Amino acid sequence: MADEGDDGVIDQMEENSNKKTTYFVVDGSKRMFEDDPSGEPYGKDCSFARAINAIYSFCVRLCVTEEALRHLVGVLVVNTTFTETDPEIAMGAENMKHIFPIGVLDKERVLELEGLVNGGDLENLFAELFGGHTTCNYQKMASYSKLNISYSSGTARRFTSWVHFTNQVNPFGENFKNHDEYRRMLRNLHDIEGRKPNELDTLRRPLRGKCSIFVLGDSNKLDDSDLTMWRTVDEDADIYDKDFETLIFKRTGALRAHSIVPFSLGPNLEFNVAVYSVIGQKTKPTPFAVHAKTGLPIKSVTTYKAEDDGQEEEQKDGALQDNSMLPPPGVPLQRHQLSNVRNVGGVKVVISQGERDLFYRYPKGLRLIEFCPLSKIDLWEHVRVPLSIRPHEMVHTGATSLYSHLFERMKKRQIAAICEYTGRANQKPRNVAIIPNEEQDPQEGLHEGLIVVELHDADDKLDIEKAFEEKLAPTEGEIWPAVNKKFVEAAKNLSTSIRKNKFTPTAYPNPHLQAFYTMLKREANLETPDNTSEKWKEAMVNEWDQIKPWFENSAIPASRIQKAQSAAQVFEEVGASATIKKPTPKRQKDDDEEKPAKKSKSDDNDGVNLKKLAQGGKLGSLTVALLKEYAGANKINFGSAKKKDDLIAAISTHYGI
Amino acid sequence: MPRKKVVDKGEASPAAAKRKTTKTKPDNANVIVIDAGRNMEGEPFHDTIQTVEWLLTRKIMRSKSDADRKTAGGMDLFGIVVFGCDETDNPLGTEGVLAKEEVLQMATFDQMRFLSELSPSQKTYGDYAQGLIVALDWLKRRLEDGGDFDKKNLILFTNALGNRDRPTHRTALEVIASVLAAMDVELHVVGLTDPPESHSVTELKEFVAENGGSTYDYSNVGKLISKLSAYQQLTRLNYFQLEIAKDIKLNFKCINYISKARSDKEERMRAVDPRTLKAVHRQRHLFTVEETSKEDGASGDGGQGGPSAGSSSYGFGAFRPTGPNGAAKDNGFKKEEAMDEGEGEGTQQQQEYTYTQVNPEDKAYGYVFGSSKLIMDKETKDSYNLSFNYNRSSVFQLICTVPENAIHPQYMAGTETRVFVPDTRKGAQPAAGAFVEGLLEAKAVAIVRFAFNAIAQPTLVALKPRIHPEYNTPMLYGIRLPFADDIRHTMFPPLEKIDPIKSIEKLDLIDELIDNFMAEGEGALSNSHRQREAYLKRNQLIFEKVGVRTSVIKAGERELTETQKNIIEHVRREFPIVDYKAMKAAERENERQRVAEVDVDALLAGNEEEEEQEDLKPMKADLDAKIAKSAGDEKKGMSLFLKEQFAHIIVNASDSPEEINLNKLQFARSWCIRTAEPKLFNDLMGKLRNLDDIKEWAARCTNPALRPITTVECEKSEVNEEKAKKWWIDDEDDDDDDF
Repeated sequence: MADEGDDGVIDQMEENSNKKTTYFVVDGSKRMFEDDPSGEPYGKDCSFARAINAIYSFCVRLCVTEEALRHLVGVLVVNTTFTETDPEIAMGAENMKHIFPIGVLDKERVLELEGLVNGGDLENLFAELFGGHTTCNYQKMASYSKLNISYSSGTARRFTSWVHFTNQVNPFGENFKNHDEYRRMLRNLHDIEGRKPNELDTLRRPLRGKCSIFVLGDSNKLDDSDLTMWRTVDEDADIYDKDFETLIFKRTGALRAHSIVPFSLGPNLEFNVAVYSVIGQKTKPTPFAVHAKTGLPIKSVTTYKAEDDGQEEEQKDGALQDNSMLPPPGVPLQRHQLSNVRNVGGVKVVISQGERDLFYRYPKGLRLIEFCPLSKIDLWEHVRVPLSIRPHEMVHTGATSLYSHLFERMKKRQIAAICEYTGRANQKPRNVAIIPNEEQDPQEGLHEGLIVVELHDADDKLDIEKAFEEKLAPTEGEIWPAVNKKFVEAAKNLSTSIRKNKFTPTAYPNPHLQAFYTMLKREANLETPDNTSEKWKEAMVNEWDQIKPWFENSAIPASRIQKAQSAAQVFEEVGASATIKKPTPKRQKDDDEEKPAKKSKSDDNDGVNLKKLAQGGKLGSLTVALLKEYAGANKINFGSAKKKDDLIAAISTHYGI
Repeated sequence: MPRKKVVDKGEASPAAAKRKTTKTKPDNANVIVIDAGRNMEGEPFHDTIQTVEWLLTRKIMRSKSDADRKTAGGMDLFGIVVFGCDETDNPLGTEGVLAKEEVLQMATFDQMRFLSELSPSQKTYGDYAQGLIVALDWLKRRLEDGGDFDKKNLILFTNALGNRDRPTHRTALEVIASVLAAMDVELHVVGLTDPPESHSVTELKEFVAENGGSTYDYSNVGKLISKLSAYQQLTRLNYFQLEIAKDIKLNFKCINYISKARSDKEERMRAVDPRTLKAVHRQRHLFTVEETSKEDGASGDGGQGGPSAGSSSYGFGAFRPTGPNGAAKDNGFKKEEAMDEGEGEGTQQQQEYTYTQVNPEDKAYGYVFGSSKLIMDKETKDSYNLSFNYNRSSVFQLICTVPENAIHPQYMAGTETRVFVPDTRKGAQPAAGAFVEGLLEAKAVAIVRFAFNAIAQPTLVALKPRIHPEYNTPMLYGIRLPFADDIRHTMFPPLEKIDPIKSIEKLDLIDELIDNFMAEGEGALSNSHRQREAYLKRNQLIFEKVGVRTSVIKAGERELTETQKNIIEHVRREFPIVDYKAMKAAERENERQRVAEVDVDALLAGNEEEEEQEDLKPMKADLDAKIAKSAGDEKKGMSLFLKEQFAHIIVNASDSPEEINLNKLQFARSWCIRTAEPKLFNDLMGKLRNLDDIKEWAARCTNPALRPITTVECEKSEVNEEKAKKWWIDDEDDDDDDF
């Protein structure tokens, strides 16, 4: 039995391994319920309710984005009358109780939180669940948290966040540093963070956790001096009265490096850097499949069958001689049993699956080719989402110093490093520019440091001359005509009136994803769908779609809207709104040649005067298809002529030129 | 078609022949004319061969799918003419000129082999006029054979120094110019020195300029190669309207200007049956797996009559479910070769699961919400899958404008850059062009909501105004921007804090490094340099399999100058990078040796009155109490474990108590509480209290692993709460009472 128990623990540890952990500790003391702005205790906006609300939002957001599968979450309420602790690790910890212990989130856990958020009478609810209010020992709170995290997080733990919500600014008094309970609490919290006694070493190696303190209260009544004690625990501790939900994500966020690669500056000079993708396109997850009737999960297996299988075939060059490892003829093959063929250079090259793996294996790393001024790189001609690189000290020490000196100088001199980059062994080598970035706004995805921007290859870019001379040239004349200054001024005015100082991605949620998240919340019974009204979908679409053009955006002041409208009016006056015909599917398919929209025979304003073109000797500039079209439209008989010269001759003859 | 007779496109499979019936565009003819005279000896010839090899390599590796041919134009066909060489073989009988092939053909490995065997002549000097005449004659013959080509290019590789001491071929050049014009052939010359070394170089340059050709040196030859690529002709135009205000729309045409997808095309391979090299087609089988026992024999709905586990007809043999935990993991199928060996055992295991084939119609979908599974019908799922483009086609709407520098490079998401140019067909160009100029004057970038077509989901796009310096084209560069959901939240410690020490000397050293590795001219930004290395790496295996060794393969190796080597060495000295793992491994090895040398028994005897008299060499002692547990005596196992911990503390941690493995102590502590053996643990705590350094440290350390087990935690303990509190703090009085 003992063995079985051990196995169970080991299984759980394995399951919980390699996951992030976030442990919320909420102060359940009476003062957390007494600070509702309305003055009424146990109100909807008291600190406790706000803390639970924030945790609830955090959990829901984790669950809908699938992140929850890689994340362990637990919520502990301290300063409660009831004590419900694990005796094995309690070590005398009292007056604390879990809403739910550390584990992977599921529907039930989120519903438990939802019960607290929307349960109504908070006073009775709290009394029922937690007995009432009292005071616990802070050292015990910290040590119990630490042990809980370490016992629940499995063998390999990823980033751990300990988040404490309280409105008690300093329970230890002014002379807190000499307070034994404080010192012991601090040590326990440092243990959670994996902080080493040597601070520099601690900073050089990434901490394995972060303790965050959210002091809830009125920022008008409290100031920085009130946070002296908590800032010794968390230097980012601050007072929050509202809108701190997204901050929790920021504080608990710790990206896993996309890759850790050596950055080679030259022979025998390389240091390790961790590559992070701070911005990445988020898409809907792939649904899993189940059997509609039985509810069992559906698995799929892909097999491969040769075309015309069964016929006797002579042995070809490069075909496998020894078939003993393969199933008999007629039996489908698995992917790893296949070979690959490339017809290149007049030779049929056969590559087995093993060789193919080798084919896609390149040495990982960033290799410096040379430096160049930043101004030489056109960042608008990019081909991939940029990545961030940070020094990584776990394999080699000393990387940070070289990295930061390099960054300092590249920043000052506005220099970029051109490198070859292979992020993972199976990625093709890419040419990248490493550029320095000094802007810092983690909430908007900006971090000070070096950024990897992928450069395009020659093949990626269109033949510029061909594009501009042929495809993007104006239809008539070779030079773009000068534009009317009146329009330019109007465009300038329009631009100024709707101008923002900064582009902030967080202002633009993806509507498609918001709809998906709503669906999940509803299916998990967290939101009741209001399908009774026929217009619910319309209302929802409005709610989900926050990317409004300026003329539909109610957040822009009316005066600016008016200014923009009057500027835009200039364009309307000249009929700029003239619309083009929608390209027909046929033309979209075969659209390697630019063609003017098809005109009716009677349309004389199409801008193409065949006679004039013929007289000017410019028929050669038209394509064969156009020549035929216009000739047909002008009832010119060109017989069975297919060649351009014949068509031109026919048209010229028609006009007597 | 007569063209088929003269154009050899390699082995044509029946499938390929079938594809030829689809409408494809005429091919392009490229004649490579190489100067192999004595004047090219050394670097010029080496660079020439490298460039030609690279040009051919790109074509060899290029994907030639039917779709490509339809959209991107025809294929690039090549012929090679060498002049200034010792051999003579050409229809005109011109001495020292070799026309390699009889037909224009797609780039082949044979051509690569021919190039690798080519070397400059030791006696003959190359006369480019002769080379051009033979090349044009050769091309003319191919045309007469019935060739129909879209573009005709003559690519001449020469330094023109072979003509240095010869009189000018006025007449010959005039003839060449007239033939070039008559045949509509474009001339490209690579390798002319700048500034010209001789009048012959100047003469050739002038000739090229007069005849609408282009000259390149080896560093910017990438431009030529890019220009010659048939794929570059893929220029699909799309038409969009920019709604700058309510119902005020400007017409633009759009071209996909830069896209990573293009160079990725080359990697296409065809999966084949390894026995017959025939193409294979994919078959997807859906099934459910149900765990059943032999007794009840249940098999799910059973109505589908699906195959049992290991059924070879579906190829399930190599798969088996991951077991009960597998259900929690989505798509949790692991490949295991469990079924092939040991039939008896395999059969038993197979019988535990029932595989039932599923009709695609019976498939329902679900998503996870945390670890809960939400299964929903298609109707519900689809009701939220809305088009936010409201069925409007190809419209983008102006959201706001921001200053130019507000679009941070980090926000440049997406994998392509589009160029929008005013559409002139309906007279809207003046307004659209003015809008671009207005943005330019306001130094602004437009943020727009963009949807490619009626059913596409909207995206955020930044439009940067530009005027093309050469063509005066007003245009908007469009790149995708991230949504709020695309930002991944994280915190990095500020660099200032991580590495605050910045000595001026070290910064100067970095300056020196930058200066020494600074690009000259276009440098690595030149496509030629970058592409060559990437191509060779990607296709090295192919070259090796075919047995072609080219100079291109060596191109990736970078040679550093002496100064560069010195500066690298200097930086290495000033910024020492130490292999942390090796350092720690060495430390651990030292530690092991130290521990092995210590006589633990003697140490224990010296510290305490009595201990169990076993041979307790720590490294021999079992680290894991479970081993002792398996021997049947758990208490003894724990006792050994604790002794070993003590020995380690004495040896390793008496000077630096931070090295104590608190996790192991905590494990032991919990075990002692659970098994009601507090004395085992408290004895160790007592011993540690005798070590001054440890005691002093433990008094400050709040880790519960260092706290003796109290009567509250275990009734058997002899230490009460009060005593435990003073365990490390109280100096002398209580020590002897406990132990």
